[in-house]
Amino acid sequence: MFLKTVEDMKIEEKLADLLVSISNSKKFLDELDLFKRKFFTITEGKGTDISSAIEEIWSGEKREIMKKYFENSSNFNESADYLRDYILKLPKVSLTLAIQPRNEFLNRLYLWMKEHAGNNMLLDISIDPKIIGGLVLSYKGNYINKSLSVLIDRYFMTEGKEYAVKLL
Amino acid sequence: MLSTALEPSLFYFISLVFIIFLLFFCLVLIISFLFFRGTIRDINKTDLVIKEEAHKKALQMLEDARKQSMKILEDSLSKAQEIINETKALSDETKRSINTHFDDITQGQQVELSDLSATLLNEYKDEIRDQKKKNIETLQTISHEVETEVKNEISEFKDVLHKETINAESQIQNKIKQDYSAIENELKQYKHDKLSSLDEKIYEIITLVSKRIIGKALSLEEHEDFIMKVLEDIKKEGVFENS
Repeated sequence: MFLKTVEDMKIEEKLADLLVSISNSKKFLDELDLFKRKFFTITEGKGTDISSAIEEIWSGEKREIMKKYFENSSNFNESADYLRDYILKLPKVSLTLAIQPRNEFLNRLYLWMKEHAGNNMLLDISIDPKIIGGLVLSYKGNYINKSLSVLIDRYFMTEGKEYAVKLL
Repeated sequence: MLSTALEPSLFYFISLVFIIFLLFFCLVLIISFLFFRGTIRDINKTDLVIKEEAHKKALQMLEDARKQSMKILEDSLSKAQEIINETKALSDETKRSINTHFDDITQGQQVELSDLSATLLNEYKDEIRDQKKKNIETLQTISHEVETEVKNEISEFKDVLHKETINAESQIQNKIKQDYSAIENELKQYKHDKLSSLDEKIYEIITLVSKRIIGKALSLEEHEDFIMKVLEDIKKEGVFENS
């Protein structure tokens, strides 16, 4: 049975911080599958050289994290499956935005959400220009529409009703 | 060889005997010829006499036969005349008798014919009556069959008409359903198109209005700041308190 150490948990948190969004996590899971295939190909031909398999797939900070994750592992296949399971079970926060966010802003959003939600998570970002601005949030059963279009609608339904009649 | 083989004296002797025998044979032949020539001449004479006598006898016999036949013919004619005369006499009587019998027979036949006619007439009448009766019965049967047949035909026609009416009604209903479904789909599509168009229009109007309200289009940074501001508002509403 796979026993998770404190070090493993820290590595997982770091990995979640790197992934940020669901689209990134999907890409990582594909890479993890590729790693497994490559690793087992290598072990069949040349022995257990896991570093070369990791280096072929990941780069930068991800490469270091994955090396650390697998260096103390006795069963690479089981460790990889456990990591996959961890990622799939991360809480998700759905955010609908009017614009495609830059990576910096995405990280800012992630850190803000992590700070205030208190957990590692993955952001499920979708884009809908019709909301004009603001966001629509869906988290743990809460649905909050704070889009600019809704704010404008509300305005026209109340204070700006007379303007709406003129516009239509 | 023979002269050399036999003695010359014997040879002369045999030759002499042979010549004598040959002369004797010739003498016999001549005598016989003379004898038979006279006999043949006598025979020819006798034959002529006999032929003449036979011819005379034959002529005589022919004459006798002619005479006898003429006599027989004359007798026959006279006999025939007698028979004819007798027959003529008999014929008148027979004729009268035959006429009488014939009249009787005719009358009898007339009576029989009359009876037969009456019988036939009666039978004919009976037959006609029976036939008429049969015809009437047949006509009645036919009319009854025709009536039954017509009733059946009308019943079948009614059934067919009923089925056809139901089929036609069903087809019309299906057609109406199809048309209605097509129209409904068209209406749905039209409604969808109109709503999409309206959405687009509203979106344009809202964008326009938002620009008017805010005063200008939002920049990327302003979008991001606005999002962060909205998140702060959400936090204040206590959405994340339970996390």
